[in-house]
Amino acid sequence: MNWHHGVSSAGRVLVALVIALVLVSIAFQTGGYSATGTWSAVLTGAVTGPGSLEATLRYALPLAFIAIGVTVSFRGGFFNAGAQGQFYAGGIVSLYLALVLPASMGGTLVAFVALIAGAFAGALWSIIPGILRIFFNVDEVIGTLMFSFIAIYLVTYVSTGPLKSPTAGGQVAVTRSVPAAVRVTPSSGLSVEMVVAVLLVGIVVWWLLHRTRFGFEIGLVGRNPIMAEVQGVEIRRIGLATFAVTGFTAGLAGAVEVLGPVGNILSGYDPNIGLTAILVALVGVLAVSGALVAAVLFGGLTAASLYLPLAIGLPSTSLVFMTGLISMLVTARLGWGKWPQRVWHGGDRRSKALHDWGESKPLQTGNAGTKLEPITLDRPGSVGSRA
Amino acid sequence: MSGTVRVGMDVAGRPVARDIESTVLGCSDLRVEFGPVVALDDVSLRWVDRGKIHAVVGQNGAGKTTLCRVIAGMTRATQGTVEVEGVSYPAGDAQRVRRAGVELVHQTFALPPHFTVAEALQLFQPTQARGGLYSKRKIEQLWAGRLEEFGFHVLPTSWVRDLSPEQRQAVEITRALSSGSRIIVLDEPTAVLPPEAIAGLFDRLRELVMNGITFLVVMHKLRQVRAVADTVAVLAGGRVVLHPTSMAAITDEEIARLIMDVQSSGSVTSASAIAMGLGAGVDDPGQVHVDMAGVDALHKTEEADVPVPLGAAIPQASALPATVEGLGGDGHIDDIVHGTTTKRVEPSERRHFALQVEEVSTPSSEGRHGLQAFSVTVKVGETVGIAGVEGNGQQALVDTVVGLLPYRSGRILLSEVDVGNLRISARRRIGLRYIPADRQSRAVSLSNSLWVNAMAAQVSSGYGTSGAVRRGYLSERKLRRKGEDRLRQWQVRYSSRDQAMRELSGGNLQRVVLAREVDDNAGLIVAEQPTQGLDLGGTELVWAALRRAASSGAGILLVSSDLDELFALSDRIVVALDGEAIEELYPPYDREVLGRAMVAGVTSS
Repeated sequence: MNWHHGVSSAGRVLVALVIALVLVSIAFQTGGYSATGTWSAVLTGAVTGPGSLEATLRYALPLAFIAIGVTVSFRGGFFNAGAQGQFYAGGIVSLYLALVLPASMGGTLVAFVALIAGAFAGALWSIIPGILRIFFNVDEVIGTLMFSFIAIYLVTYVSTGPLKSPTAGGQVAVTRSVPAAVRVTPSSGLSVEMVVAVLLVGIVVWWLLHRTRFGFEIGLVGRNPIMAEVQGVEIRRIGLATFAVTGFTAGLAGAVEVLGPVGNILSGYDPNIGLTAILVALVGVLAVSGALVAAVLFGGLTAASLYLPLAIGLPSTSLVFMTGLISMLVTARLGWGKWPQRVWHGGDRRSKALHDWGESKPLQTGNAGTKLEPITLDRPGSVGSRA
Repeated sequence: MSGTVRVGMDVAGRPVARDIESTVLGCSDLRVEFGPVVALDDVSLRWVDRGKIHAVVGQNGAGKTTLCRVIAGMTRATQGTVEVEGVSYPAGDAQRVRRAGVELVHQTFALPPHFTVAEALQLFQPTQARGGLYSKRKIEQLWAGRLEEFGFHVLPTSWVRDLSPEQRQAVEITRALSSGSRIIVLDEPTAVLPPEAIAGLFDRLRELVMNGITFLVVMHKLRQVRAVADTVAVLAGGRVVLHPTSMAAITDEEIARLIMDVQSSGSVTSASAIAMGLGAGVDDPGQVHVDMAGVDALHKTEEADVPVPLGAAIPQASALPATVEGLGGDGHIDDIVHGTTTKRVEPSERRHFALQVEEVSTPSSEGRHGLQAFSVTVKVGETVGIAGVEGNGQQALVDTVVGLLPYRSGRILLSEVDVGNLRISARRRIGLRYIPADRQSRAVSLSNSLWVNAMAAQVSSGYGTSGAVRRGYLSERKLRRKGEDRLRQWQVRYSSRDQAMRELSGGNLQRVVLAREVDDNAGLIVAEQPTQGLDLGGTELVWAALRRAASSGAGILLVSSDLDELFALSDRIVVALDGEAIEELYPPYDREVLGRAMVAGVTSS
């Protein structure tokens, strides 16, 4: 939206971050760790330490890819919660292609084809629950989550079955490794190409959202699907497209991980990126730029959480607490409703990214709603006081 | 409950017994602010008579609903107190005001749709069964009795979602009364009712008043105020401009002047009078015919010289289509109302029909009638009214024409193009425009910005965005500017085009809808209850806009439950009953004939 909205939502996220920081500090202090010591260790682990910044960006990369796509779905009012499964689908397909395509094609071309195929696999994995949602009214949260479970078992299947590495030990089932020529990043997980790729995806999605009819219509559908339909929006088409975009970026993230730092698929491979990316999208207040910034923040926390056990003996899960707290505080309303003018302007402020994005609309009359049930969240009585 | 003497408390929580024993309901020094907007400003009102119907009137945005909500404790006041039965309470304490015996019946209904009537009523009871256990049969018996006692005919076993508006209202009133309240605040109770149900509501209110219940009623139409109220108070711009005054002591003309309370030029003519339910006649036989039977008492208002904010109501000349002449921004409102200075587009220049609905049938759903071989045509430049008791197929007609509801058999043509089951966007490109009755869900997106709302249909359906949208790519900058142009043209009062829609008041919101739906390329405008809940100025604007659209070549399908509106605008009226078009009426219209046709399908002819 325009600049002052952007500033106000950024301000609110900052306030939430500060509150989270204070609360976590208190937790550290009462747990017997020095808060300042811990934070300086976090800073070292995420930014200033040798290789820290690279680690931060490495973990931010897949989060950014997925969160950008999730932003599209959520803006359209479709709560695609299955990024994890789409990530796996992308990873599996790209790994398969990386292994079977002839080396004579050249590593770069194979990698390119595998990445794109992975992205499309993710899109397909997302569109199936999307079709179930749009044509059969199957709740998309349940549908996408269930498809994630199917994908988890597919991971186990490929790593123990068709793509199983013949050289792996008996204890661990793992697939064959991606040939070095096809790898898109060194083992650090960071390459210029991939950073450019994520920025490119960000720019394209931003452009889609703000410079095309498609994006305009996503904004209408997400806020009030019935109104959108009356204006002539094809809600089903928009819905399917948002599912596809989310799946595409999640599949791309999976492909980048597998062709990049991971290099193979381990049975039980669970980087838990899909759900974290949903938090990233929400903390980024459903804006593309916000998603990028939030991805770096969460990437930094992930990098730091790996460093903390080494540096000060704090378990890496201690920062999971911080992640959760930030997400809760950013998506909570933080009592802004206390002041009348805040209530009056309630619709404008995106503190609770999801809720503010939707709006309440009691459908009393007729048949418009029977085509597609409204999917936005109900937000009763924020104004209601007009005479 | 009401018989017991209560000790109230003042703002600081101390018991207080002020010398206002005779006040049944009142408020002192109320001030309510919503951000920069002052909704109520230093409002002090005092109603003394028990067992009476007290009316509060005023324009949209005058603060009526806010007053109701503050009195019932639903909205916090910046300052001021509320007095109930001579005891004052801090404004905004719903629990205590409720215990003191005041209940609010909301403008929009607040009953859970998936409950039965008995369950919904039981839900709101202050005292609940021990252990929270209920017998379905017992509560059904209890509420059947209560509903009967209050004179409402609603089955306690029916689902709330299946009830008609008047039945829902009956349940709401029953809920309010059964908590033992003696003072009921009704916020625009007639706005949601079909016209034929209003008399019934008034009968119930009168009966309840006999039992000592006091009503505070917000209303828009003076005719209704005259019909039912004992006293009237007027709010304008958040201030009291008339303290509760006996209806016997004031004329409608005086009330109308107070409602407008605007320092402006121009004069209100019969059009305004009709808008306010005064039912005056209009001279031009081609345009408006209002039957005077039953409203003769109000004749004297015909020539009333009531000021109206003309400049604020009508878009400037630059906004008018080229075919309309002589409608300057400061033109006399008569010109617009009577259309005397407008020039009709020659039929030969355009297609003949704007809409042809030929024997269309749709399935019925949940207590609403589908269409049964329904036929209606709207010629270019013609306004056809659809009259009927709510639920007789009007919704299905609108939805099939707009494209929200597929039809089983028959044919629909827009501008002589068979739309088959064409998508809404394609129909809009042919020239379909739609002003929905359900503004908050169908017409606007409350959390979206003004410019998005003003341009949503054009962008989504692909028309009228020249330069701003090209092959799916849009220039947000140009689109914002186009949206803002439209907002300006329709004189929407706003502070920023990026402002959220929900910040606008009812009349202003409808202007945004008009800005989107009324343009030069409109072929057929489906106007569904276009002035429901609007004040005089808003009604004027909508009527003028529809008349102008018709005179510049659009057909208008007007679905309205407001008979005055149908009479004022329609060249023909088609009566819908049980999903069939049973009758076609021509001017001069007769209120009684139409009424009979609506309920029974028989006319006097």
